[in-house]
Amino acid sequence: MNILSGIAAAFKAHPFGAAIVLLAALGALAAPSLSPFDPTALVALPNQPVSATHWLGTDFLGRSVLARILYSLRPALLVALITPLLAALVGVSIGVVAGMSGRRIDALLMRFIDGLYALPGLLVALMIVAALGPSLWTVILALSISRVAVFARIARAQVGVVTTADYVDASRLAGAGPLVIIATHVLPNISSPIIVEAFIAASTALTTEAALSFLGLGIPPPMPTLGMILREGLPMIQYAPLPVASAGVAVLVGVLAINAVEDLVRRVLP
Amino acid sequence: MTTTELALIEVRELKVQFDARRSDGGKVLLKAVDGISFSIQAGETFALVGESGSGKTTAGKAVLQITRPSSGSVRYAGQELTTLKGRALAKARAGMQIIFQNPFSSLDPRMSVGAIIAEPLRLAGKFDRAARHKRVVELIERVGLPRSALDERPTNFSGGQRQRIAIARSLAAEARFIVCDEPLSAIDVSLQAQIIALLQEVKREFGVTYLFISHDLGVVRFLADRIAVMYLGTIVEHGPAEQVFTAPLHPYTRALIAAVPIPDPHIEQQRKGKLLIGEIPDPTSPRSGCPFASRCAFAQARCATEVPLPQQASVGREVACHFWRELPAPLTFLPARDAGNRIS
Amino acid sequence: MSQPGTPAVLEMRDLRIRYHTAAGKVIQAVNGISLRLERGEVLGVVGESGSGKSTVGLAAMGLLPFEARPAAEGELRVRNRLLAGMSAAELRAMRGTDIAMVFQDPMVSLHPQLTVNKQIVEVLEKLSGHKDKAHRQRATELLRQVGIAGPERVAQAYPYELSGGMRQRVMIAMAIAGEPAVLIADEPTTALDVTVAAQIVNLLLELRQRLGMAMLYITHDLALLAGVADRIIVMYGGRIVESGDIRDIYARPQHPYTRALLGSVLRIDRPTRELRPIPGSPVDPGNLPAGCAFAVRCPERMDRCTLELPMPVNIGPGHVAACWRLVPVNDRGPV
Repeated sequence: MNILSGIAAAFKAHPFGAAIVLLAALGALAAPSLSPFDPTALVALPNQPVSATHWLGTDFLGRSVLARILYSLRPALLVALITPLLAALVGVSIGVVAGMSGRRIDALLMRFIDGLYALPGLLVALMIVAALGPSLWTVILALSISRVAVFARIARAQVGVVTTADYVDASRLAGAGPLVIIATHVLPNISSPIIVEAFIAASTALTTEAALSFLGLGIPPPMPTLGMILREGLPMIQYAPLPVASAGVAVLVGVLAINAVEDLVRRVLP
Repeated sequence: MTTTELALIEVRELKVQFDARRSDGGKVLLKAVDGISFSIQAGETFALVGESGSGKTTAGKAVLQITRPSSGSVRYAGQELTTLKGRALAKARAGMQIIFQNPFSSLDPRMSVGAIIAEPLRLAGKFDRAARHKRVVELIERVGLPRSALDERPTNFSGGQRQRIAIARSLAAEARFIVCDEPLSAIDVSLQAQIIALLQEVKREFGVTYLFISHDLGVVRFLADRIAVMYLGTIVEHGPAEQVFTAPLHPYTRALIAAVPIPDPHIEQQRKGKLLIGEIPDPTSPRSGCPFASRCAFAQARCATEVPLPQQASVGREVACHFWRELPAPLTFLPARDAGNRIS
Repeated sequence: MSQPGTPAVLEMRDLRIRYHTAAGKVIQAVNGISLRLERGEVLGVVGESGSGKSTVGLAAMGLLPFEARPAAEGELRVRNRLLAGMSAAELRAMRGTDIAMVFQDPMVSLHPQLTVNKQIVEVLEKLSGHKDKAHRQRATELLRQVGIAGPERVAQAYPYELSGGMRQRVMIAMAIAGEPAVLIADEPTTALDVTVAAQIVNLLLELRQRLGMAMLYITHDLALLAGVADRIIVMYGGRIVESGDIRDIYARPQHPYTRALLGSVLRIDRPTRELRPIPGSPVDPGNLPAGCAFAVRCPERMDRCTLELPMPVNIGPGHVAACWRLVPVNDRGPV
């Protein structure tokens, strides 16, 4: 009840943000049913502008741009959802283990994280995808790995603060072992910055995936992705700007939607 | 100290040392606790008294093994704690609890008060949910807070109220021995008496033993059965509280007591001019002989070179001073020389 | 004591100060304080948190925060000059020269990145209005005056290198640099060890003697005040509940709050048989009740106490207390 009323209140406070979220979610989930056309089918002459049948026109092959955009929201959503989850899971685990272990293990783990942190995210993702071959899951894996370091660092820092707190000493005295302390005290107290970072990671994942696809190293066809649409539409941008414009706007909407959800979450959580 | 019963807490030659960095950058060994020995009988209130830098808080944490001693022995109910780790230590420490000085960091801000008090019950594993809830309600009311407090977060409460919650948590853990580390420092003066009263009730009702760490001699005089006075990591004097207060033997104890104001203008007007000079020296600088020698009005050559060992003054009373027998009887105290106010 | 007719160095008449918080709440910090501080006298201001005692000290320095200034009423005079009429420049000139303040925690009040010497010289430059090579010497001299041995070395130090007692001495040196007529000490020894506190109190009294300085000593510590103050005022809920000569008040406290406070001090010179805590918690200045603010916690409360504010009653020479219990029966009205 608390959560639902919180969501309702947040929606009321930010109707615009709420609208974006709903739109994006609908589009992503319901794409197949909403879309009037098959995204890979040739439905009309290529490079058509906006028309009654084709709201966003057609691309350079004659495929419905609207259909392709709608269908591309799905992988985008998957990437934006799973990447931060995976990265957080691994990163937080590393950070917590490092923070709760002795000096040597702590130093070892954190130096490894420092190394990972030093590599630019896009580069790491590129290398991994290139090595493993592009597919939805290698892309997700690559993007997750590139974000692990940030989560590890945040978690490690927070664990340091929490474990030196008096209340943890009191728990230890009452007989709590390290696992109990992690579950009861560490995780709830580090959740705030981790959640914030998760949303940042989601937005970054979205845009990085688009960049990968744009470079031709993202999720391979036949699944349409926003980056792919951008790349395909770029040569024709002077004559048929619609594909590029709509893909660009879609990315923007995606990021805005993620921000709106984050705002909502922060209002609902204490 | 002879006793027919086994003491609840037995501390021997406890030392706690840290690697520290001096203000000029040099690495140095900080001897926070430099070899102290004492014992606490079940049911008594034992006070550890001293000013800043005395090592009293570190000593309290070392007894509980929250801070691990560098050397020395701590026995609880006959069992040696310093050699234990992990599960074995947790088991041996059952019944030991602590009330912290800072009520704002001693309670998890993310947990509800009810969950905080219930945590020890959950860890004990022998209560089901209904029994836990019942006990938690009992405890929160016992410490003088309403039932409604259980659903709230600690941030909604004042310092004094949080200490009550901390006391409730100790009781939930079925504490037999509680270290009270300056529990009143962060609380308003008019409310301190309420917390003191609660601690006394808890002692009467549950038979708890206290190690009461404080710099407030007035409170200590009221609460303590026995006291030990610490200076720069060593115990300079200990014994029954009443005796130490009415007839202090060590020059530092005398100076400490002389410095505590008394709420009587007539008395205070006449006490002027009997001051302890200087301040506590840098705890990281090397020292030889008696740690108090640099500020002691009665210091002689021997004091600077030879560390005074505790000598028995009477039954249950010890002093660590070479010349305690020769000190003049009245509590007068004149600075013999200027020890200087060195930069610490 | 001063001769009759000479103006007091610090005077307040029915001072009222309200804070308006950002949330729109009104906090009545000070509710009608009147006091007179004569030359060379030490007036103790006793109270707990929320009593308004610190606000009184800040007001005397003209240091009230922006949220309070428009709502300050009543009269406040320093050396017989009305503070309300002063411009910002005049207030700045007044501080340090006529009136100075020593705060509780020197670690927070001293600039952490300037040497002691620089901070004292800064004060001297402000007082004299110009830079001068002689300031450096005067700074060292001031450090010596506050009992610091080896002042040249201390002058070169940064605050973090000094102990608590030393830092407080530095603060005092800065405060007396201009030889002010009034020194306001707001809990100057609360953060210090008891042996060091005794030294600082001694220093303040010595300086008072040497410089003829009057002191407003603000604290919650009744025992400490016994060795410092000539007269005291006891504050609760922004009002004075009792005031007078310290010996009269400590020997025969008239107001139930004063009695409760004195009764709850645990003395070191004799065993306390019974602990008598004051029930309840200190009044919230944002939520003052009608009538006497202490009534809710008072063991001697009557019906009238919660309805009407008690008027001050003369107990003896200079001894005043505001309590309905002290009013002769036929004046009390229906009980």
